[in-house]
Formats: sequence, structure tokens, C-alpha cells
Amino acid sequence: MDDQENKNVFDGNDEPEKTESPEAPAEEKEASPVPEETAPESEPLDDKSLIESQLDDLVSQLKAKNEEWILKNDIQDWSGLVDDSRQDAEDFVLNESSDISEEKIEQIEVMEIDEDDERLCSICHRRLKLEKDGVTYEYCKRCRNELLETSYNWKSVVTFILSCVVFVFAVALSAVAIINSLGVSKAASLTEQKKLVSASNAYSTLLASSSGDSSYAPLSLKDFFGVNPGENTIRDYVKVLFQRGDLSTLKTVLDTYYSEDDFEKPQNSDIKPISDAVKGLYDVGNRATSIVAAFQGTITKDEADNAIAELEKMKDDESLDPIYLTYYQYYVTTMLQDGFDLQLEYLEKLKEEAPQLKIFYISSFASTYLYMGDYEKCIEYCDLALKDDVEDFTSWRLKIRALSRQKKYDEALALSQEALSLAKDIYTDSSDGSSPDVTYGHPVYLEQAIIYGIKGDMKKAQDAIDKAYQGQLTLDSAYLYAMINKKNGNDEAYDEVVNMLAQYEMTIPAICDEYISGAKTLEEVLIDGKVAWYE
Amino acid sequence: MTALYVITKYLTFPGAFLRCFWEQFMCKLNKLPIENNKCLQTNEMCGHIEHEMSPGKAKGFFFTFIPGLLTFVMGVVCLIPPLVDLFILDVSSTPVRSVCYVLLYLAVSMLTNIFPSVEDAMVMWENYLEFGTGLRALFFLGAIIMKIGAFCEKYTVTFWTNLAIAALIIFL
Repeated sequence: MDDQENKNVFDGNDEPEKTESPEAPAEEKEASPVPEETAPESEPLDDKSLIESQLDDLVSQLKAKNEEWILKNDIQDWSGLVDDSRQDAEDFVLNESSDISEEKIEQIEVMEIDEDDERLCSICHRRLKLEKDGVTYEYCKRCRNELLETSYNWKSVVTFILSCVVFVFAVALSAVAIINSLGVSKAASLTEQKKLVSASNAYSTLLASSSGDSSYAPLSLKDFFGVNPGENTIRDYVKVLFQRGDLSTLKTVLDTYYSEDDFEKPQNSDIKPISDAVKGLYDVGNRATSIVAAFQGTITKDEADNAIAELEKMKDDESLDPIYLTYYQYYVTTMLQDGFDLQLEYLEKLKEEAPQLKIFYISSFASTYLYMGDYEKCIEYCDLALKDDVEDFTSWRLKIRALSRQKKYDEALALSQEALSLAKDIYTDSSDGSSPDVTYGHPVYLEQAIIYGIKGDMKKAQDAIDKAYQGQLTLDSAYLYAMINKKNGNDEAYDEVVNMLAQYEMTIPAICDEYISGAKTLEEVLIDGKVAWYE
Repeated sequence: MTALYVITKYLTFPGAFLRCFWEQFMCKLNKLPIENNKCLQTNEMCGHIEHEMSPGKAKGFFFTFIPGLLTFVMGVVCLIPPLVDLFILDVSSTPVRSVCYVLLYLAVSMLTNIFPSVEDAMVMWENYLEFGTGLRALFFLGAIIMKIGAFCEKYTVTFWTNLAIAALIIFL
């Protein structure tokens, strides 16, 4: 251990600047105080000399102790000891004589600072770093103890408290946002799967539970913690409704959530064509209604030609989109008895002029080909429609009927079961207790009832027609309900239909009675007979 | 570069103060002395507090890791509402959008202050290298992210990245 080390170790105090004292030069201090040399016991000493002598003695004792402690390498305890010793010295001097205290204290405090010495505390650069359990710390014990008392920065504490408040608020908002986005992602996923009825129901549920457009509403908790489906969700809903061809709901949604100016915004560029299509169709519809509203049931060729010519004239009006006038021309042809060729002509025209508007022609092609007896073409168009929407039960029905017409009953039955399994899985939050297969799959149940009836399984036919009748009251479902129930001996249900029809001054067709009486089979009535109400 | 670094720290002061709080908290928890608890300074220690390094390997590692992790968690939680409401749903409600903008700023400020100082990161890396093989494999990702992130933060890369993400959330 060299001198330098001894010096550093010895000088454990708080005033590092005092590297030397004018009264006590370094050389002098190096050589100093050995009590025996400076104050022999034999000579009498005055008070001042005595104190000096005792102080010198104390200094040398401290030095000796330090060396001893360093040799023992017990740094931790040493640090405390020097502090105590120094305090003893200071107390001693102050108690005995004030006029020499400064000088002697400075003598005790003499030290040299070496900032590059890595063994020294990086703050005071005087005491050795604390060593404990084999670990050397950055600072000496005293500096560490002082630094450990450092309080928190109040700004960071305030920030922390505010952050905690924000954190709690953000957690709640995040939870709501995640719940919202789960609903949206479910609807989006259903759209991806081409389950447009389910997707439409999911979007509808989200919008129904939302607070609506609260852009300028007063601030309320509902704004933050209610359902906020967002603009993107509404845009997706609009697209789904358009794909499904649910134009009346689509118009309501567009009118509720958008103003004319909104469609000029860049984010709405993808739904602007949809809005234009709906607007175009409704504009044409308003004008064309006066022409087509007069027609009831079937019309003659002359009436149809006149109506088509009038609609053609309206194409000169630039404010009306000619595509939708063509659609109305097609609509007129559907009222013609056996006007299938003309229907196809206008459908081809629509397909050519607006191939993107599939909702206006795909299903129409399928039904026209079915009526024409071209079942393969019908199935082809049904498949096209089902590719875009697997929950399009009108197309399922047409496809099943096309197979039934070909007397491929087993194939048709398998297809109906496939369709109904899809219908059972339709997403709905309906609270009226009705099952989705009845609500949406009733056209399929109707076809299924006919197939079971033809195959002679009257129990299953009964189950199927009950659901079809429950799902939607139409002429064909009512007649079939009456026929199958009567055949199964359920006169009450038959009478119910008769009474219901009587309210509209209608009766059950004679051909139904032929089936009930056993004069004709169901196949003869519906498949071979091609009755108008079933067509 | 230090000037730019300091500017980003001042711009993201809520996150800087929060990070400092967590560092102080960890110091108190580990009984480590704090040399300077001033958070916003005009030097490379801006956004960090000066403290004694933790002596233990694992302690030293987590001492550097945890303040960043806690700030990251708070930042991510603040980011979720703007991300969902502005980016995914595009909510039209003005109060919700306003709150989302505030949360987005807080998220950016917190996520800009998740990495340790380069000095701390180097000590953490040394501690990490002394881990056993299993622990090293377990904490590899965290350690490497902390180390690279410390340099990214020093050169303000994290700030610009977060700013770009925020811009995407708002404008896309």
C-alpha cells in the first residue's frame, strides 16, 4: 500500500477543496505529529501546546488506525470509524480552545483528490467506494446514504398520477373500442365468407345499438362508452346491402347517415357509385311509376310495347340514368305472358350496359331461364348468385326447383338440406324467438315440402310446409299448407287458409282439390301441371 | 444530434417524466442511490435520471427492462382507443375523436420514452451476457430490443417512427 493510498483513505471528510493549508504546508504535515517527538512527556506544556499535542496525537492515531483498517480490508467499518474519529477531534478542539480549532481541523482534513482513481467514490472522490458482499458500489457509504434519501422528482410524480388517471380511462375506452371492433370484425368476417344476410344482420345490430350520429351532440359518457360503429362500419354495411340488393334498407341507411356533401369526401369515394345507383334507380322509379303502376297482373303485348316506348322516350332526359330505365323496361316485360325472349333481351342489355350491377340481372336471368325450362342455364346463374352470397335463399330455391323440374328429387333434397343448414347458422339477434332458418330459409322449406310430398313422406312434408307458411305468407305457401294439411287430415289448418283467402275474396284453386281428392299426385299438379301460382 | 434528442424529449415530456418516475421507482425499490433526479436536462441524460448501476446480474437486467416495459404498457393502452376508433372504425363523434387525439399524443410520448439510456443499455447487455443459456434464450428478444432501442432513441429514430404511425392512424 503506497503513500497516496494511505492519504486518500485517511482523508475521510466533507471538504475536498482544501487540498492544503497555509498554516500547515504539505511537507510539514507529512512529517508531523508524532507525540513523542513534538511533546516529550518530561517537559511541561502550556494549555495551547497541550491541546496541539493532543490533536497531533489524535491525528497520528487516526493515521495508524486507517492503515490498520486498510490492511484488514474492512472498508465499510473504516468509513464509519473515520467519521466518528473526526467528530471526536472536532469536539475535542472546540471544547478545549476555539482559537486553534480551525487550524487543527484543517490539518486533519488535508487530503489530495484524484478523480481518476476508480477506487474512489464518484461523487466525493475522497472515500473509497463501498464494498459489500463482494460487490463494489459506485459511491462511498456516506454518499450512498445521502443519495438514497433523494426524493422523487415532483414533476414525474405528478405525471405518474395523471398518467394513472389517463391509464384507467384509456383501459375503459380500450375495452369499449375492442368490443366495438369485435362486433365490426365479426360482420367483416361474415362479409368475407360471403354470408351477406348474416353480415347485414351484424351491421344492423351494431348500428341499432349505437348512439347514432353524435358529431355535434353535447358531451356525455355514452359518447365514450357507448357503441360507436364508425364511418368505416357504415360504409361496409352500405356495400353489403348493395351486394344483397336490399335497396330499401340501403336507401334508409344512406338517408340516415349521409348528406349529399358527404359523398364528395375522399373517404366515401367507394360508396359514391352505390349512392348514385340508388339515387338513379329511385329517380327513375318516381317517374316510371306513373307508367307501370297502371298495370295489374299480366299485360298484353301492345300494352307492354307502349310502356317500353314511353320509357325509351324518357332516356332523352339527361337527369335520368338510362340503365335504370332499361331495368324498368325489363320489369314491364316480366308482366307479359310468355315474354321470356323479350325479358332475356333486356337482361342482356342490362348486363352489357352495367355489368357491375349484378343485383339487377343475375337472379332475373336465373328465374327467366327456369320459366323458359332451360334448367341448366338457370342453375348456372343461381351458382353465380350464390358465389357472391351463399345466403341468397331465393337462388337456393330456384336451383332446387330447377332440379325438381328435372325430377332429380334426391339431388334437390340434398341441396335443400345444405341450404337449410346454412340458414340455421345465420347470425341474428332476433329477440322474437323465431329461428333464422324459418325467417330466411322459408323458400327452401317450401321446395322441401313439395319434394317430400312427391316422395310420399307426408310427415316431413308437413313439418317443412309448416315452417314455410310460418316464415312467409304467400299464395304458394298458403295453398300448399292447405293441401298438405288436408291430405294429412288436419281440416282445421285447411279451413284457416280458406277463411284467410276469403278475406281477400279468393278461394283455393280447383287443382289443389284434385290433389286432395287423390285425382292427381303432387308431381302432376306442381311439376307436370305448371300451375301459375307456383310458377 | 444531442440537441435533436433533447428537443424530442421536451416534445414528449409526459412520457419522459413517466419514464423518469419508473426509473426512480426502480431505484427506490432496489435501494439504489439517485445522483440526479432532474428529468428534463439539456444533455444526453435528458429523459433519464442519473443513478448507481444495479450490482446484481438479474436485478441489473430487470432494472433496465422494467421501466421501459411499464411505460410501453401504458403507451399501448393509450394507443388502443385511437387505433380502433380513428383507424379501424373511423368514429365520427367529435368528443370521442378529440379524446383519441389526446390519447394518441400521450401514446406517442410514452412510446418514444420506452428505451433506456445507452449507458444503462450497455450495462444491461453485459448483465444479459452473463446469464445462463436458458435465460439468455428467454430474454434474447427483450435484451436485443432494449439495446437497439436505446441507440434508436438516442438518434431520435423512435420519435419519428411513432410520429409516422400517428400520422397513419389519423390520415389513413
